[in-house]
Amino acid sequence: MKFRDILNSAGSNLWHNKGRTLLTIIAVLIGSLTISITLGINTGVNDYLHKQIGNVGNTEQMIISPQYSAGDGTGPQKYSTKKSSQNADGMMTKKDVEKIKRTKGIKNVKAMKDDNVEYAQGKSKTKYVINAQTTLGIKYDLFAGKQVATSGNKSEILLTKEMAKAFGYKKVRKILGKKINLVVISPVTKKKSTITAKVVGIRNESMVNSGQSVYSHGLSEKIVTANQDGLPKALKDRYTEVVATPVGKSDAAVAKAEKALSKKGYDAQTLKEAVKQLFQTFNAATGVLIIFGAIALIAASFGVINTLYMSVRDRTREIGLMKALGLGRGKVFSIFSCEAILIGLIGSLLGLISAMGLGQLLNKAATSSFLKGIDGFVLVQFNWSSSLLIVGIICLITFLAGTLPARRAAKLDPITALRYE
Amino acid sequence: MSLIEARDITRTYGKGTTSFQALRGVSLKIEKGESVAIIGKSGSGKSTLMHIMALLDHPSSGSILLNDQPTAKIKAKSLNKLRNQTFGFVFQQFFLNAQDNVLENVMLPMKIAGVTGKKRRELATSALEAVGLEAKMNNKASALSGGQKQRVCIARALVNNPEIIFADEPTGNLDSNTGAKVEDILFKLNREKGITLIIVTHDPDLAQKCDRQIQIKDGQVVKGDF
Ligand SMILES: Nc1ncnc2c1ncn2[C@@H]1O[C@H](COP(=O)(O)OP(=O)(O)O)[C@@H](O)[C@H]1O
Ligand SMILES: [Mg+2]
Repeated sequence: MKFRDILNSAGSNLWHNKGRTLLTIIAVLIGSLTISITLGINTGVNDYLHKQIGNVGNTEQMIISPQYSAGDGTGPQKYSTKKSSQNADGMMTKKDVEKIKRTKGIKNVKAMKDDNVEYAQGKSKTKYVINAQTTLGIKYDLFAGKQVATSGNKSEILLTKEMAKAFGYKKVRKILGKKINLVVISPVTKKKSTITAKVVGIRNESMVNSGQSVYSHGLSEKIVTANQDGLPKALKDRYTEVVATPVGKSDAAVAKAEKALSKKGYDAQTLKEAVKQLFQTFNAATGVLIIFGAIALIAASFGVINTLYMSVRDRTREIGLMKALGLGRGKVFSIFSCEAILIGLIGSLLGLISAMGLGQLLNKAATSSFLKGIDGFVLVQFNWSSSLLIVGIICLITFLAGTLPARRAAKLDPITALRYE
Repeated sequence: MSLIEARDITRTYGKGTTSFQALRGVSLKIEKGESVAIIGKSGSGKSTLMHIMALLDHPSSGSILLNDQPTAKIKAKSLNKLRNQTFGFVFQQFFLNAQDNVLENVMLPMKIAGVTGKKRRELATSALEAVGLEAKMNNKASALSGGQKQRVCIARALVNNPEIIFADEPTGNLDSNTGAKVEDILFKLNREKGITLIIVTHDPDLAQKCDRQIQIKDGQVVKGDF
């Protein structure tokens, strides 16, 4: 029997039992839909995070903090040279910075001081609180303009689109080159200083360091100085954060540097790792959904087994006749396997198509709600390779489910099948 | 040289205390071009014998020779091919696929043989012409009368141009008029195409029309050969 005739026989049998075929296909469809949409979201999010890493550049930049801080909440801890109450507020001293600088495997150690800003004010005169960080020397994902200076004393700032709008620029590009004021009040003397900063760039809304403005090196120094007004000299050398660059860029080199820091009592994490952690959390969440899809598929394969057993029973005479007329076991097996695979193929394709439709709806809903303003983030995405993989795997599952009934059909004795009394 | 020879065939169904010997040492020879009736009461073992001669079933002991060659050691694949190419089957019940049309049903043995396209249609059409049903070619099999259905079955048995047609009670489900027509077709094939006919029946009138009768009683030959 030629493949075409086998396919024909399988197809026409499915067609003649539309009702039960449809029900089985729906079961497969549900599994396929769940898995497809989950993988679609996974692809969308991973794609976005990859883009983010790509945009940022220099993602090996390490952020170093003391291992022990009161925020740990693990109860009383024994004192050691690694764990001192000095670090309880998460701040580091000059001694810490020296220790970090002496650690092998890192370079360009930079210590960041407290750079609190009371409020920021632009053309609109309204006062806004500002959430910002000093440039880490990485390439921030920009909507327009350029990066801030990472050295020297230029007062430059990157703002988010929302901030630019708030400062009174409906067309956000118009803010480029304009000045805004940052007001700092010294915690000691309560002296109010106003620092002007030039807006050189507008950040894309992003999930990495989202919503933060970025200060140039020079601007940051001015803010720190204003903050420390009246502070005793001994207290001036307190640092909120230490950043460094690992000498080696490989994962192993980074891990080694982190281990060395850990021995001295410091936690270090690169931006890349932070993003990776985000990936992992997210992948764990989608993993759960995929398990649900898999369970649906297992249920569906029982449906396939059942449907095919019914089909074998209904066609006992036909199978017997065909075997009597010289059809081999293998071919009989193929006919029923073909039926199973067809169910899998149709179900998985319909599931995939529904997932694509649902994905479009979700994307529309997302961009107008919780992803509003986040650029370049398409929540649900499909790629050919994983779509084909899903279809392939589902066909394989239904094929495997079909082997039980197909074997029964192949083993049918033609005489028993044809006997009539 | 005989076309089919059965040598001391026995066939036991079941095992132990419930076992039942349906054939108790049947020997017979059938020559090429003959028409042979296997006759006997219901339950005498006719169908069992036919299944064994048609290589659908294995005897418990004894052997079947085809053109003087023993058949016991033929591999499954060659056996399938042999049945497909050299045997045709007509059963009391028609075993037509109701949802397929007449032509599809007749083409089944050719599908199994892997014959495709135009050739398959042509051969099936000429087989339908031989039984006078070419006009019903595109009708559903379920829409035919009993006699017509059996003629479709003959066309199906004929389509691969077999050497032997095995017919198990071919007129058992038909009234005498339509039965006679089916019989005529079978004997015509025997006369004109030289196809060997082996007809299992309990109808003495049909048996009389054959060249030779072999009577079976309780699994043994009582009249005819040997
Ligand atoms: N599969 C089977 N298992 C047990 N007994 C069987 C089986 N097939 C046939 N028989 C018995 O063998 C005997 C011969 O059957 P069969 O060859 O069909 O007779 P016939 O065709 O002459 O009516 C009957 O008594 C029948 O009950
Ligand atoms: Mg019988």
